[in-house]
Amino acid sequence: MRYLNLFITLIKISFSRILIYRGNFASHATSSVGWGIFSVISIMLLTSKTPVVFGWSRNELILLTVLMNVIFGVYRSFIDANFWRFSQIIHYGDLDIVLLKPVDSQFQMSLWIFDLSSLLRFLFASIFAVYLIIIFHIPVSFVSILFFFILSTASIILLYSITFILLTLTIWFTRLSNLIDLINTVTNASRYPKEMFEHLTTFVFFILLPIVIIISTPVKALFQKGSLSDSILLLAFAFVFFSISRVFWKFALRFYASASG
Amino acid sequence: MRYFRIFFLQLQHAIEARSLSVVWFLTSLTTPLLMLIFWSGATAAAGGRIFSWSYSNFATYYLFIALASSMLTAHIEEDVAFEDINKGNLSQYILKPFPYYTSKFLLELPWRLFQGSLAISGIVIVALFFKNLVSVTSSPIILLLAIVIAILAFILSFTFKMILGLLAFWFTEISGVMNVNEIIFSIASGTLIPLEFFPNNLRTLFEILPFSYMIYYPIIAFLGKLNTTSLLQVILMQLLWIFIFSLVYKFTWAKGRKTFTAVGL
Amino acid sequence: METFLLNKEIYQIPKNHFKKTLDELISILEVEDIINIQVRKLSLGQRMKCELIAALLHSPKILFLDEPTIGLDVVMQKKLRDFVREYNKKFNATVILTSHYMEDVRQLCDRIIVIDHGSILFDGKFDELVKKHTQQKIISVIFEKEVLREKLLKLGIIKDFDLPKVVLLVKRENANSVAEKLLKDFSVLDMNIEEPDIEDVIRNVFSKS
Repeated sequence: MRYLNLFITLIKISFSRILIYRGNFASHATSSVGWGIFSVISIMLLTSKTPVVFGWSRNELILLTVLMNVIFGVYRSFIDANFWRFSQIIHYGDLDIVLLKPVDSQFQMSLWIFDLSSLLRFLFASIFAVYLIIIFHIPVSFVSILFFFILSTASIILLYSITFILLTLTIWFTRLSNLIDLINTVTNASRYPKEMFEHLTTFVFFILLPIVIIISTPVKALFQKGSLSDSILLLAFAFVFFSISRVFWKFALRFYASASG
Repeated sequence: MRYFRIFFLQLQHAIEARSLSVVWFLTSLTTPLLMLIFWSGATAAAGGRIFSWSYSNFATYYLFIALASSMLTAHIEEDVAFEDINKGNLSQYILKPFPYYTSKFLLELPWRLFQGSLAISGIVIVALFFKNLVSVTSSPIILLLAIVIAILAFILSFTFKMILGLLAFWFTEISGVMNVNEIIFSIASGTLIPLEFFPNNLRTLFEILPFSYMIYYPIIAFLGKLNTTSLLQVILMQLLWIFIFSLVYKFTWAKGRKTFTAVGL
Repeated sequence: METFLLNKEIYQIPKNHFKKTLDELISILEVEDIINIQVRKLSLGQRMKCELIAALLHSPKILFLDEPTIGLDVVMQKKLRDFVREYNKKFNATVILTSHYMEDVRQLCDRIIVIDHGSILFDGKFDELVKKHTQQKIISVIFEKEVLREKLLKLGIIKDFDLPKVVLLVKRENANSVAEKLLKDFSVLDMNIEEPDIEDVIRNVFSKS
């Protein structure tokens, strides 16, 4: 398919950029692995005095964080870099150039550049996760691993859609170039178990629901503690939010006005 | 007198870009809020108190973390590294008749004040509804010393961040260094977890490092957890670190200027 | 080269067509040596050439060039104009050019449209534009001997009086007779009759609107 070819070409370009900007790659890879390690250390510190919290044991919480790094490693590699570019494009009025190309504009805004340095984080986190699963004696099965992959994919789609919808707002509010930082910080809440948010007011919990099920649900499925309702909810949300992102984006483009220099 | 006018101009800019400030403020609010939610469950699971901290203690602490992050932490290093050094904007600062440090200081201050005022209003609102959460010391002497500590904390943070930004003179990939700094900072300054929770040897380390004097000590000073003697000791440490950083800054700036080349377009 | 390949995918250019067009463009613009060098290491002129290639890979039938010669040195300007002319001929493409350099316009354009604040002031051929909007021609004379200013005033408007060179503005109809008179009555070393500067023409067009 045409978009597949395009995607492959773009990946190839990203790879060759790594070779050119080697220092950049090394620095980013170190940072992202550093953040991964930091996230694990912080959860260990936070749970040093409480062996069980929110129905999760300390081991499970640590593994949750590691698996969060697995999922986020993929997300940061393939999608996140595009959002920074998104902000720049809107801010500098370069959306015209995007719209003039015979390629779907949402595709161009979402899957155009990649920061493959985060793949290292994904790799290390995956290896570490496997190691922890073994030494913590977490009961996983082939089926649960399969569900983990399926649900993680849905999670990435959901995370992408939410961020994309919020960023589309910058077509109207062009000054909010730092919105992506806020979105990333808020969606970081997903690294904590969903149960942690359950005793907030119902209203707040409802708003946060799409975010908090992003990591918890696939991980619980992996542990074979998965809840069917959560899983269905995640898949439904992924589908719904993705559709909204598409519709909303097309709607926003009509409002886009730029002054070509 | 002209410094005052320049400050005013920068303040106008900051107010014009107020939507950016609001977003930054909300960003610095998010992590403490998340920590609060975490601790509410954790304290419940541990029977009401962890390390003798009750949930309302945590709440107060993290509220003030939010304030300190908005108001006392300088964010000038990215501007220095990316805009001035990498993109060459430094030239216009060198041409000015006052030091680079001063220009950046006057640039940074309005943003801190603006976001700080957002945070303070937030705390005031919370204090109105949840009186027990916001228990600031009532002793005027301690309050005065706490304010001094806060001001010194800002100067400390600012000077440190300037040095960090200036490293871009030598490192083309400065973002790695900045990321590492952020990680160390969140642990050592008490932003992630109150420093009390750390084992003793780490605590001693944090007391030597400058980070705790940027966030942790101003907060617990305002919360009234230190007596006058301790407060004076804190101030002494702050002054010591400011002195060290000033020397490092002067050295870095002098050396860095020589290596700086800007290309006109 | 990677950008070219990317554009190939974006515009779905078939492989052999891509190769053919690419080779042609590379040879016209003489960039064989640099297509595999990283963009950041190229000079401005080289970058422009490569950008042109990238933009033309899918052989567009209509080309919009917005101030293409701005910021370029004289040599590059000429090269670019030559390229546009050749592309226009070879690929049968319509080129719509905007420019503030009248040289671009004079050398390249068959048809000129002058727009001011959204309304069209003129649409037609270059020569028509000149004829229609100037009633005058320029006669530049280099005199052998000194000449008194007053004597020239009868012949036309004196644009420049810097002996031995004088530039006169003369009504179009009178140009030939004035020229004759100059040659007869004065000792002339050299004389030139020209259309007015295109910049003056355009200024005239705008001031009349």
